[in-house]
Amino acid sequence: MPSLESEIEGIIETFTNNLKQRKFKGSRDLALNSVQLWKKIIGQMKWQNARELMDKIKEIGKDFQETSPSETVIGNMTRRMLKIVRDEYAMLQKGKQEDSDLQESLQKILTADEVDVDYSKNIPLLKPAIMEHIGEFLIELESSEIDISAQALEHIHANEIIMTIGYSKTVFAFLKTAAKDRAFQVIVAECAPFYHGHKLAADLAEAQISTTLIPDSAIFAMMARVNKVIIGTHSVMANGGLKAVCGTHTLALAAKHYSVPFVVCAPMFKLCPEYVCSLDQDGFNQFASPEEVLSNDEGMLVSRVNVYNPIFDYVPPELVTLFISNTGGNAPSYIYRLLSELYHSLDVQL
Amino acid sequence: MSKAVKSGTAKPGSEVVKQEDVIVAILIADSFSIRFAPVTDLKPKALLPLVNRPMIDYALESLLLSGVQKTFVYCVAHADQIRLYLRESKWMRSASPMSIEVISQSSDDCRSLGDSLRDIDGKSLIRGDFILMSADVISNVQLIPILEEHREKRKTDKGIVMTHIFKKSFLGHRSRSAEEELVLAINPTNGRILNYQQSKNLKKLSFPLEMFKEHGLVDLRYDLVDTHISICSPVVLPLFSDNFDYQTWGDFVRGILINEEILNNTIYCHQLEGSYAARVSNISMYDAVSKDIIQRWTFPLVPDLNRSEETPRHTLSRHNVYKQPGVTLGKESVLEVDVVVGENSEIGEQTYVTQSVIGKRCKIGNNVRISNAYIWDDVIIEDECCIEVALIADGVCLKKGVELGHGCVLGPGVKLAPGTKIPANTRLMASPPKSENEFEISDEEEENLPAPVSADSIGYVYHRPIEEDSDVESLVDELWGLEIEDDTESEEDDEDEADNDEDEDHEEDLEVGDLPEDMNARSFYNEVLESLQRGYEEKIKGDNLVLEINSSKYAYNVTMKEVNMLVIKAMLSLPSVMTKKGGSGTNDDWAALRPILQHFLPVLRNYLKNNQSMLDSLEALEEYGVNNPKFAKITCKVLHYLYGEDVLHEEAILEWHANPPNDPSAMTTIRKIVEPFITWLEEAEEESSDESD
Repeated sequence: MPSLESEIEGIIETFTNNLKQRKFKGSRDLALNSVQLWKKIIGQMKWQNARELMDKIKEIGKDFQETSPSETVIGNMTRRMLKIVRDEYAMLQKGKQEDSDLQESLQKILTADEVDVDYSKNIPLLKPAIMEHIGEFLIELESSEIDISAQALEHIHANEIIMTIGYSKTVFAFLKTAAKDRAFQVIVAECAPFYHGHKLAADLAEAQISTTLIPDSAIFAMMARVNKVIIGTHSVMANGGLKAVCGTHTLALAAKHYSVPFVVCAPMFKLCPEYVCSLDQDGFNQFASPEEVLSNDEGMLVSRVNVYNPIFDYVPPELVTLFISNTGGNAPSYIYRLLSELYHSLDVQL
Repeated sequence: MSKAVKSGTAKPGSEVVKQEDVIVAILIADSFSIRFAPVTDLKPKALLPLVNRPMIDYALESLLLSGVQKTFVYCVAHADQIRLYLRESKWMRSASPMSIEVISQSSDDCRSLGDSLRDIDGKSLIRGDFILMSADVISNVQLIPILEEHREKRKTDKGIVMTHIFKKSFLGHRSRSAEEELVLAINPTNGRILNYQQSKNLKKLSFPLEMFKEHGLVDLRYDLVDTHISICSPVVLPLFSDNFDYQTWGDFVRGILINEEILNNTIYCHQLEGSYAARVSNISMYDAVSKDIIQRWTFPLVPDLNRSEETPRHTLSRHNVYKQPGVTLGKESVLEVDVVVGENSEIGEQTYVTQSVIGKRCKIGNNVRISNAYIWDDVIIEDECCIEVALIADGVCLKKGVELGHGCVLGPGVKLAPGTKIPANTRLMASPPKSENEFEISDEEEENLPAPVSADSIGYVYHRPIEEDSDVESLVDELWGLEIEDDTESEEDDEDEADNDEDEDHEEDLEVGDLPEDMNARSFYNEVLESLQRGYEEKIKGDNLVLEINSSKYAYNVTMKEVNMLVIKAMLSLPSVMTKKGGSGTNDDWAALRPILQHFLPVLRNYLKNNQSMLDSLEALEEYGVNNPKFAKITCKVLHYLYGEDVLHEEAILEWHANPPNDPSAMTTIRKIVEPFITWLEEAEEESSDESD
């Protein structure tokens, strides 16, 4: 049916265009949207068996990833879909969940070649099962922010001084929840040149939290009196390192110097099974228009200087104290284990 | 005004807006100019690659990203190619959220923007507001808010016909196109354009007094650059149809402003804040916009975010180096900064590339130096070539050791034999100029200019048909690369010469706004100096040099008198330019100058044909002598030599000597120095004739 095909193509096209136009507000929005898109695609697409479905998901997923290489969430969601298909297939096939992996030893994980599961059987119940699973996953995504902020009281104590940087919805929700029961102060680094910190400071102040806005250059100076640094992140790399907004590394180093706990709020969908091999790595960083740093009006200057405006920083795992995910707190060294639960090892390379 | 408000409220504008939900854009895929010739002879400008992507793609992408739903692509030259390209591309796919319709018209019926809009009006395709944009515009502007602003303004001013978009760029900005300098008078409270003037080559501007009387506040802006994007009310098209003399946007604006009283039509200006828009109107703009794309001002229209099935994504590494898959880099080759390399291109060993774009499937040899060059697809550059500031079109082949001067443009398919050196600002194409049917390359005595390429090359010099405004064009083109040149080596020389030039225009300098002419003469002088220097070093024949100088003369629109004077000055300054320090003793100077003069005798003879031109040259000699005391010492020798070679006739010399000099100081220096020569002349003359002063 060509009309169905073109309909899916249309949905995909709209999604990629929204992606290009940066219509998604924050990575949770992006994650939700992409899962909803997958739900539509898997629901409408014609496929005979799991193998075919997985191939198609991989193909489309690769395409998405290429459209916006620095948005790791898109890749994560694709991997998640593949994992769901695998799980459901295995469950229907064997009548039990394929969670044996988790119980297996490290040795086995490392040496096991994928003992070819035959995905080519046509199981009529597979589609509804997958759809149901995706539905559950969507609910998990939607509630991830609430789940994280529910842990706020465990981490923020009365009269503490918290430092954060830029604007993160998760951090805002986290602080807001804590403020219901505890009084504390927040110092926000403004995060030049985008100045997202201004927005956070304004929102916090509106929520009746005592807030101080500082320039990025004052991070170190202010760190001495800070009890805890709580930040959001764009994604968490496989080694527990962060890909976060530019300036976070400075913040993390300052925190390390003063031995201030460095806490990162990161829902599970931000966990990415990729490593940072070099800072030149394609797709790791993104360079925006230099406009924010130097206005293009500035005649002579523009032609004579090179202006760079990178968006992300890499923070090595040793600077991170704790991750707060929607399932609870984890140390950076535990991320690899979480990843093996979230994604199938064969899907890491899309 | 009050009337407008009343009628605006009578017809609730918001409902009208609701009805015209589809956002329409007209993309004019032709620039109605030959700025890019000969490259555009076979390929439409809209499809020329800009950082490895056809120009029209950027325009369509920016419309798509703005949320435009329907685009009419209007093409004239090579319409079939554009149509074919679009049909194959992702733009015409049914799933694309923006539908595209291609309208083509033969170039006989459509010679300007005005013609195309009249044609579109005739087809009555457009009913609501629309976005008018040129296909060579690169922008990341969000157009919808501006469209809404336009509709909002209509509520208060029913006569609004257009909101034109301008970008602020201060003087000296690379994306300020020299040929599109403009001055706008704007009412700062509502952004209404009150006066519009193109200011290129203008010494003064005049504004009607009523404008100031009528509006309490008037902003005069010289820092705005036309982006060639406008939001138009549907009435724009009939306006073009009614006025057959509207050819360009400028005509339209002027027409609207003149008839403002009668028709009550108004044009508004929107000034971009923080977004980028520029039009690739000529080759130096091509250069500027390419650099802006590479340096990411056009974000998100940057190479590493652009991909389609046909073209894989570029990967970005530090210092803005972009590579597509399959790029091979040789040992010790360096891609320094702002470099883009296309798919499956190979770069040899110890090759150095900076600030350049290399297309797909190019082969670049060892020890090649490339800077500020735009190299398109399938180009082969062999070992030890040197390319600085050049545009090299598809399928060009440069054999070993080819050197290109600054600002060269090589058309598709040009092949240059080993060791060829191409002078600066040359445009080459692969087929001989149309008038010249013979297949002969390296010959000089033809009527058309001989191609300055060696045997076994396929490359003919392209000459732009000289039209009334072509001088401006070439000025702009010529400037391409000059800027960069100034920065590096020849700065000191230029300054010296600039000083001379200033002295020369002593009185005119007092006038304000004399800059353009002064600039022209100075650029011409630099050009001539360069030609002569190269001519001397490479022993180019006198006739060729004359042709080169003549073409520069047309390019900068200088008078014959200036030519005579400047050529002489340039020759005299050659020794010091070439040695960079200037000789120390009198004898050295003369020893250095003499072979130069000897080499250029044919050139001199060509220019100094009559009495007046000789007088000019003598005047130049004198001025040069006044400014360069070192030279003054050998003036006598120079005069004698030129007299001996019959370049200067004695009548001229005597007449010059008889007339008082312009500069009184010359009296004491130069005149005194040449005194013995004059006496000798007079004596000699007395022998032959009776005439004396």
